[in-house]
Amino acid sequence: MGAQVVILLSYVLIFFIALTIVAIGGMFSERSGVINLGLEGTMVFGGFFGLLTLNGLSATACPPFFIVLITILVGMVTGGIFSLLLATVAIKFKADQTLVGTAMNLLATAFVVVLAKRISPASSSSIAFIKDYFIVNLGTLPVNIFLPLGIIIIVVSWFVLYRTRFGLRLRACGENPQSAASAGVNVIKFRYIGVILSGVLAGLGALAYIIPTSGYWNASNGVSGFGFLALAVLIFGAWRPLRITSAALFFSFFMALSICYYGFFHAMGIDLNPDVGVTSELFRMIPYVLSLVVLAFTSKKSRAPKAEGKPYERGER
Amino acid sequence: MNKIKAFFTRDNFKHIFSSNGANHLYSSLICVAFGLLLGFIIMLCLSPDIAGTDFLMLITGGLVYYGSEGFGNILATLAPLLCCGVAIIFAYKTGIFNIGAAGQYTLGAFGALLFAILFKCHWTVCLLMAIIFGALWGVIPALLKTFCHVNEVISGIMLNWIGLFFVNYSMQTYAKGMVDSGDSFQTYQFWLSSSGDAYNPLGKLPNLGATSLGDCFSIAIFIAIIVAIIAFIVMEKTTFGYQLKASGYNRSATKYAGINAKKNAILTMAISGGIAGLGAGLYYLSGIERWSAVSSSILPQVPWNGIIIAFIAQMNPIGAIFASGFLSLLSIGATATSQSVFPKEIADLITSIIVYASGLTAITLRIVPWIKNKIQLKKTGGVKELPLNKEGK
Repeated sequence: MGAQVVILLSYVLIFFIALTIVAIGGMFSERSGVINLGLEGTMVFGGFFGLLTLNGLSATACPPFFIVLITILVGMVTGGIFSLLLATVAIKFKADQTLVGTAMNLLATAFVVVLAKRISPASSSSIAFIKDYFIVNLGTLPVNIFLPLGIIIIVVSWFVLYRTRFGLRLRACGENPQSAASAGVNVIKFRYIGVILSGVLAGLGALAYIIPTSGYWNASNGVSGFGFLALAVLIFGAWRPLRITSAALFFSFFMALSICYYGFFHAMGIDLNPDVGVTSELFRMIPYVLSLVVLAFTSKKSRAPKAEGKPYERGER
Repeated sequence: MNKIKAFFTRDNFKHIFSSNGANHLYSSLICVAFGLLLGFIIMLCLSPDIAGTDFLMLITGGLVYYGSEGFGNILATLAPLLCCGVAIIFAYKTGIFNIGAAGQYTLGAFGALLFAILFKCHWTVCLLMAIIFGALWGVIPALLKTFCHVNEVISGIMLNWIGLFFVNYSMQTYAKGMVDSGDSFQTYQFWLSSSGDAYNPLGKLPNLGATSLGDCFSIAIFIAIIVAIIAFIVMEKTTFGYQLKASGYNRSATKYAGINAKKNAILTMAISGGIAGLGAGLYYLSGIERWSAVSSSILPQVPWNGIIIAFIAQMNPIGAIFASGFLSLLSIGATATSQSVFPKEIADLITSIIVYASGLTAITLRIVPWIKNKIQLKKTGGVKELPLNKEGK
């Protein structure tokens, strides 16, 4: 029983921190007024280049500390660069943000699979990597490097959003960009920063999701909806850092259960299998259903940033 | 006779080539050319030696390399793509971005396969069930939008994943007779006598005896084209279509004009979802691929390509016929290239670049008028005109 709890807990921690990081990234983008539906694609893109770096560096004599550092930096930077695809067309050319986000998801997966198959000698889309550098064992519980990083990000993002001039201006750009502009705020600049931050955090979140769970990654599966789940967490968390954190904890519990429900309940003497109507899909479905129900009840007085998804027009009121 | 002559005078054609519709056509052609060019450059980067020949193979392979069977395959994959494209267009005209098409498609696939494999129904019944399942799944976001003010993009995304997990869950539990547990939980090939209990040859779409066009060819293509034409007629020539488009332009004004916008939004999503579901029916009942209940951890690709088609076609159902033809030509052609150098995903890469570029209508709509203006300036040698009239933006 104890061993099963530890397994469940380790999965909860992995998903919790990855979901929080990506959702907080999405929060920065949406709070500045741009909906980033391309989170999924950004994760795939940033994660791929991070893993490629990790794979390459593992073969060299580079000290583990620098391997970890460089991998994480590469993931964040490439994620940020990829999000520029959204930022430029959505902010400068006022393109449909839903369309561009969708295009980015398709683009990232296709690009990454083509590149992965080309690089790999057997033209397979899988990348193998060594995850040991990122994991420290606290007793029996494995803890990865992303846990402290994520906690720092939660605290810093809350502080930045609510206790700094930058945060106030960012929020103003998402609520009422015209009045922010009339107060001398450069709306365009803040929206760029918001979107790039979301890309950087999505790249980091991708690594936090992929690295601790297994030793290889199949690019053609992408992150199988994890970016969309982060979007659901963002909405469930009402666009606020601390609520996002608790929503992510709640969501990650079900996600962890979907992986190790059998062993967990088996240890308690309950046999769950498809014959009694339980499969892992059931647990993966629950967070989505719940967020839909919550949305149905709360959307009439929505907490969403008022100007999100709308291109900024200087002359509009 | 004179009238006919007058009609064909140069001025009339000038008007056609500089009309709003023509600018949209130019704009999508520019996007397609841009996608192909960038795709070619990427192929050059991957391997400069064989990029030229393989690029030709990519855009002609389906017809040349695979012969008549390739043509049959193109037609078979075209049909579901076209349905998904039309589904997106139909909703988009009413101002709804139906990103939930993937979920409606998934449910449609479930409906079609459920009635084909478990209930051994005729293919017409299976298609009907695909439409009904898709329509029901499409109505949910519409209800949530009209009564609870939930953004349809958000609810659509959630419903996509709920749909996927629900279908896979069903196929492993109460409807597990649909999948072959000995063959990685894929649905039975019910049209083959080797599929045992699941054997139901009536469920497969008839191929009208055209066996030279390959196993996958069926009447699906005709059904899809008829759907596209009906959608075009409904949207452009009927009062109902006018009402739908009007509520897409201005919700409050249509309400003021006495049009029931709520009812229309729900009806639109039912139709859109139904068409997406039909697309899934056409795909899985013609045996192009089998649904895998365990390994499908990602949403099916076809409905996402429907979004691409809708935007390449600039929201015109007739244009969607050509756009989906282009997409299926690419996807079949991409399997004919040297796979170790250019994986088949290169087709997805090109099409996703195209749809990304089509988000840039602010630029692409202006290019051709701008060039024309330059030419005219050279001809007349002066007097600057505005690059475009007001309607063309």
